[in-house]
Amino acid sequence: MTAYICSTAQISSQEPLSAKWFTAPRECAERCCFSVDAQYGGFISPMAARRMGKLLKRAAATSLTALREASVEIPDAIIFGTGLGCMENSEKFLSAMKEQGEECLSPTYFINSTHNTIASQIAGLLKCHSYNNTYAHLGVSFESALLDSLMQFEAGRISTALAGGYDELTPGVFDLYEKAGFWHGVGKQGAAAGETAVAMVLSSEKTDSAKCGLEDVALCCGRPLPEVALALEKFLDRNGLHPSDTDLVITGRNGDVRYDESYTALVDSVFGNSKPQACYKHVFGESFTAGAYGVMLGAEVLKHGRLLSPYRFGTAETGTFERILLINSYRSRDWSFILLAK
Amino acid sequence: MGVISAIGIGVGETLRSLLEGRSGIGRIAYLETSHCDLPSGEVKLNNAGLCALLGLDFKSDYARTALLGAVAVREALSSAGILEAFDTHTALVSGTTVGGMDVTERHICNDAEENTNWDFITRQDCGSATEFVTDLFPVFDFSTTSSTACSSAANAILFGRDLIRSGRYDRVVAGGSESLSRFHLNGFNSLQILDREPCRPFDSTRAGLNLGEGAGYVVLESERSVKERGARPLCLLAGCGNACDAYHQTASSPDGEGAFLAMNKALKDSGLKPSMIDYVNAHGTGTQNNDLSEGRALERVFGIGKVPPVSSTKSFTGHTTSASGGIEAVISILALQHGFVPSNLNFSRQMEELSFVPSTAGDTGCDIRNVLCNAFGFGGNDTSVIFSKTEESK
Repeated sequence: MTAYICSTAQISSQEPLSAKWFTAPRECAERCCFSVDAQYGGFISPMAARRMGKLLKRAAATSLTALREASVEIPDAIIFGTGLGCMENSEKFLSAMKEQGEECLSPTYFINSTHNTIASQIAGLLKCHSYNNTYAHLGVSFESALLDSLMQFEAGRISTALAGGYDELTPGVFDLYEKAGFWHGVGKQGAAAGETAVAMVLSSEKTDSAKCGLEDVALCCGRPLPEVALALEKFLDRNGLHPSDTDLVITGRNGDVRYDESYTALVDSVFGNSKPQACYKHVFGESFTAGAYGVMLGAEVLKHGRLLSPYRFGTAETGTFERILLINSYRSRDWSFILLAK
Repeated sequence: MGVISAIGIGVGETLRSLLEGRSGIGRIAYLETSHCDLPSGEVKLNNAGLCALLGLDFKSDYARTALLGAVAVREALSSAGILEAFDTHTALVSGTTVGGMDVTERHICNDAEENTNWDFITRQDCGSATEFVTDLFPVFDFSTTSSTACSSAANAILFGRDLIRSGRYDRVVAGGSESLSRFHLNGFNSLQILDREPCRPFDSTRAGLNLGEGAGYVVLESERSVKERGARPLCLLAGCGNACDAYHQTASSPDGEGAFLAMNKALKDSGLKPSMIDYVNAHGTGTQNNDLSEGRALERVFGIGKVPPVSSTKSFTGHTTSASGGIEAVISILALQHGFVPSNLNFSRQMEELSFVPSTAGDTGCDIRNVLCNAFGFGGNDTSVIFSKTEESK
């Protein structure tokens, strides 16, 4: 069944909580796209804000904005993805343990270090007793949350859901992944580091504000590329589609030569080499949940019927946009496919 | 199904410990911590021993959560007869919150040196712990990780059930894994909710929980696949429910609203009446707050004087946090299969606030048809799962 994406809200390297990123994106720095924070006063009381790390503030602002834009007060489900959760808190508790040993530690950072802190704090803010879940699985964390959301609709349990992807880039995380060669370096190896804060409201009803339909989500993990291609063909087939039925493929290519090649190989093998393509990580940077920006882009393309040059990849002519396929991967290992329709 | 915890490696040893009332809680022997006097439910093998069980060469960079998970998943696949890759379209859904935190601790707190394999360090998150397991078994082409603190494994079972219900998968291995870590041992200690004595769930003198570790998984299979390959199911996953208490990040509401909603959702989902539940495997951590809140929720769901036999097997295993929903799912299914109510150890005095006492007799020869299993986590994340005997397994 189709669930409709009724609103999206982002805090990223782009103008926060605005839609300017779609028409006039800012250029992203080469090595890292740190997020530009919003003014949080309108969303959370100064008292509450003092107790919240930056990721929680971003989650509150994006969630409340997306809910307001979709005219939903209390969603029937809150389902988020996060690769690393509230890292700032985890790091602070770890360093306290390192510096002062195992005695007299304050629990504050510990209790806010679990990955589901984000989804449960939003539930607390809304006094929302609904279904609440969090996925933390590398580059398919957000996509798992989206799949869970869709399955909740399919089972007829919910009529609205708040889905989101959240990851922050602390100096510690940046350094660690830098040492492991994740970020842009010699010979175009590595991507620009990014952060994610994206919320979206899904509904079983095609409301006036609906941007597009979410048709299906699938994951494929730890398989060689030919099997990934088969899984993608099966995914399209399951949705009654031929590869030619999709008008645009949005990939998660991030500029890292070691992995971008596999997007090319996959798209070419399933769609041939003339399929219109788009990408977004050069604008938002790479993070475990960066795929959420791709869904946001797909939704706007379907709503406005146009794709602007900053997001185009390759030279294939685009026509009208009825169906968009999103392909994202974490280091060519965990793949996700998402189908959006007008 | 497959399980590993302080009371045994594998389903057989776990069952014997439960029937004999043998707790696995004791002094900490393997985790490097200054708190080794805190009673805890450690798995009685070091990482080298776990590697040996798996036929792997020992590496100090292996996360204990991943190793524990692999041991339990292998038993689950093997007992379901799908260890050999007759089909590669099987999903693994695992719950964890600690992930590879033990490895992170060793590197960060012990000042890692220059020659460190940084690539491996970046793979100490929750998802990487699951992928370690996925990679060991060729049957998996899907893996994801639910991370909702102590309800993680129970939520993995919910998600796994939906993968099957929606027709996306015919076989899903779902559950969770969690090792002890200095991080969360100190976290719980800083919250002052660790008992310095063996925990006493639902006792008026209870003074906190004992942490434990382990892993537990069930193999979920569609009716179609069960029939096709002539498999004999252990039981039916009859219903699931999750709700958010939306009260406090670490404390449960006094009236147990989230727990009440989760149990009711699971009952409604299963189509069973409360009176048809024969045993409740409670979350029952042994903290002042949880047991009162959960107890009140049980009274609200079942009615005063009508609460079925209840026990917390955390008195055997310790609180295995993210893995608890998986380990206790296995224990719930054992109770169904073997007709017994696992004993709630260390109980002596009834809580004044509650109308019921937990089951302590370890009754056997019971007719147990439906078991409700609770797992509640930080953030008020409350999940209930119901297992029922099938026609074949009655």
